[in-house]
Amino acid sequence: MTLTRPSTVALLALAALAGAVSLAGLVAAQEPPGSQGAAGRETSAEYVGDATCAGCHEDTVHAMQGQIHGRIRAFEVQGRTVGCEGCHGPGSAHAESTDPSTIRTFGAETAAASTCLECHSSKGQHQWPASTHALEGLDCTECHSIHTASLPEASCSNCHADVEASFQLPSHHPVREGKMTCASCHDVHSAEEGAIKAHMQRKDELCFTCHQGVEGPFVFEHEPVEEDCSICHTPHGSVANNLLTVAEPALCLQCHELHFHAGYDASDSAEVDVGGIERENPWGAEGFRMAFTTSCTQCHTKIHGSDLPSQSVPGRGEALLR
Amino acid sequence: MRNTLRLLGLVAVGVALVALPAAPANAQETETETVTKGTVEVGAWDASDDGSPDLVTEYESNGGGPDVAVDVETRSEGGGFSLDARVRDDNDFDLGLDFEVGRMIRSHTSYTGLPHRLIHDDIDNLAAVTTHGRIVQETDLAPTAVYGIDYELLEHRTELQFPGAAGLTVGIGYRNQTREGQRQQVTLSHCDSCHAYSQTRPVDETTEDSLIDLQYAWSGGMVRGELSHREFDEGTPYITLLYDNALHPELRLPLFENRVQFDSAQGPLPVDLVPEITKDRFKLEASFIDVKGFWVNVGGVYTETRNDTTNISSEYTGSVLSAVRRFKKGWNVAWKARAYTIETDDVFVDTGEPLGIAGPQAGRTYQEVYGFDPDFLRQSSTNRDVLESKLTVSRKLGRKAGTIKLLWELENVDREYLAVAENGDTDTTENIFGISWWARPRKGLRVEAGLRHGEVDNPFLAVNDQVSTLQSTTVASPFDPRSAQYYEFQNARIGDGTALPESWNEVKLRGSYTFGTNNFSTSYRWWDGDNTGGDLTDWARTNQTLMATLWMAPTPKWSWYATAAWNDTELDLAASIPLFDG
Repeated sequence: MTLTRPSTVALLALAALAGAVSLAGLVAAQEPPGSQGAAGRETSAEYVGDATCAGCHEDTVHAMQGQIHGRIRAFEVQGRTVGCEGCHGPGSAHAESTDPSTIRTFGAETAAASTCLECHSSKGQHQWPASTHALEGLDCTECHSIHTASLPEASCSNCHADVEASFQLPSHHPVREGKMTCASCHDVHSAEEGAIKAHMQRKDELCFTCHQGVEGPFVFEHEPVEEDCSICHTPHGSVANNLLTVAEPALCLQCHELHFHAGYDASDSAEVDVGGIERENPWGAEGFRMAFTTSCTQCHTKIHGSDLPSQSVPGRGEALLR
Repeated sequence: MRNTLRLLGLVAVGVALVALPAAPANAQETETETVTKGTVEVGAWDASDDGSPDLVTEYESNGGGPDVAVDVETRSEGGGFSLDARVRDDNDFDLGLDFEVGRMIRSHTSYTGLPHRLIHDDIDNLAAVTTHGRIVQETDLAPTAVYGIDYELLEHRTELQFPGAAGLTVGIGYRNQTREGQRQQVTLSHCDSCHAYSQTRPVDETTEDSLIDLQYAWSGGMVRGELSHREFDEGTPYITLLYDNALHPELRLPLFENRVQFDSAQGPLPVDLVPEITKDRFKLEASFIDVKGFWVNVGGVYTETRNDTTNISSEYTGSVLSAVRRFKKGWNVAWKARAYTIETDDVFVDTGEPLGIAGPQAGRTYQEVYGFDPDFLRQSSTNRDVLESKLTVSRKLGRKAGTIKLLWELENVDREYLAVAENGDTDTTENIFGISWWARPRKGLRVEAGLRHGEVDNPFLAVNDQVSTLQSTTVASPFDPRSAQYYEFQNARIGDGTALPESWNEVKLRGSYTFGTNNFSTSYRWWDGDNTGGDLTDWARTNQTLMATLWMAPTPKWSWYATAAWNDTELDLAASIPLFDG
């Protein structure tokens, strides 16, 4: 990228200006970072240990044992406290008074993210604040259950039932067969567009994780393939075969015209002698239309690109037939 | 690169072996007893179909047998181990293995296998003869072949983190994906006729990814670097085909030899070449929790992808920046930006130019007859500079009133070689404006509504790819100098074609209601876009999708769900489809 290009500079300036305008409008409502989130934090209490918590919350503490939050060690999270008080804060005041307001709690109106991110910023969820889910106002506890074992992916369909339903369509990735999950392609904590695992690159990079054979680079290219996989494909489910957005040949006809051969009338005879050789003509007069307007990729099989030339000299070998 | 990764991996393991005995005990460890538990489930499965190509069961085998699942877990203060496995068939299984040692070594491995049944297209629609000797014909060289692929995926990740250097985490990853089986390959041979040959194409693909990453975290943020290497290889790089002899269909004379780069004279030739591909990637990323009140994430990535069969490389260089700030009264502002460049090698294509053998063009190449030079420099349509920006302003109104969000997205794609407009412009600019709202007005009920509008300047389209102005010349012979040639028809095209809109709108409505252990969800999406910017070829598409899902779990062990989906797509194209049987 050439940063001195006028269009680039203008775009960057425009984006920065938009951001500045938004911030200027909200400056009066500034809030120091990190102060939101947990309710009832007690700063004068001391740590008492999980055994004290279990005195009243035996079932909860017992359920935590063996789970990841019950196993985690302080050194993993830069020396922070682990166990019950790792999230709820020092518990001496609460243990003495049993008053919920004397300890950090998480409820319907209290965001847990700021507490979770104290540790999870170093555990792979560091992009959460800029993720689509966070910007939608979702909190960690929307999908995660901390005290009991849970499968967070089971909560995807709470909001994305339409996507889950897409996997029922004829052509689909094998999610409903249990061979893939939402997390196979998505990292919901990521700031990438669509929360897809694209390694900070174009979304096509996700596709190439499993479909390397169509990545290239090829000698003979098909321009929409180089542009964006989603011009032709839809990833969750489709009526058309091969996860195509539109069935062939309509898909191809959006950019290309039919072979002129499609307009030919074939013979009415079931067999025709050409040059002394009997040639089959099973579809009668409609035969050429049957051949040229059913599915372009019956012949153009290397539709994603090829390193081998097709036969035609005037076509320069670009027909993606070989 | 691969040896470098191996060396780094060995160094990481070596560090682990040295550091483990010296790691001090953590004074805040929780005392836990050793817990071992497990379950074994034994069942059976049976599946059959009528043998017709059925996409609904493409990932499931026919047959039957035992269905066994084992889940074993043991945990103690020193570490733990868990294994879960489900096996239905030798190509249908899921295995997961986790172990940890004092939380200093944390390892996860998964191994999945699934069958993928493929259709055998009998290509019998590719048979037709005109009254003037033009022929389409098909030959299935393996008419009884059954096609399918067994897919397997092994993924492994180990993290090393030690009390002596607690902010530092070393990660080692490995991924091995294989596809084995056979699929159908159809190849077209002409000019005796348009002759489609169907063959069996063995599949023996292997993809290996090796990765090492290093992360340092502190109270104010983290920084992470990652190095990865991929190798993709197809064990059967290509199959072969003996092309037809390019004879005139009626005269049976080799009159077309200078119009085809190869035919039967060259013997069996490679077809369906799957190249060897390697990929190397380096990523560097940093997050800062508080930079003047902002949360900031910045990163860069460099990737080189090489086609080792043709020695063509493509390089991706990109950077990302995100900044988020929360304000009082539930306001949130986020800005994300990305800039990247893709550069792919040019390739000079030296098109084969055989000499004519018989007839009026004997002894001459196609170029010598018509003056058309078929050689060209392939300059990649992938090459581009791209800038993306996304600004989001949201406000949480309250749990029942919900959250409202405004967004503005901008993308500018500046292609180096590919024109997307009649005037030769290579730039595409898209602006998207959106507003959305979601809320939980009552317990168990979630509602969502969203509207987006996009405006695209110079969307991707095929310039002059349709509607030739050249009239076909009525002459006795295609060798007559007055006969119009294929490349002349192409050069005279004036119509543009596209599958992308200049302007589009999208409405999304979603609702979900949870009652007890049951859930009902419904969604509606309407998308409408059109493009009137091309010459002669207007394009428009409207898509509606309505879905409803009912999920019920009467007991903790038993649940069922039903889904209904309705999809309606209207596509307006300037194309005439006389008849098709699809």
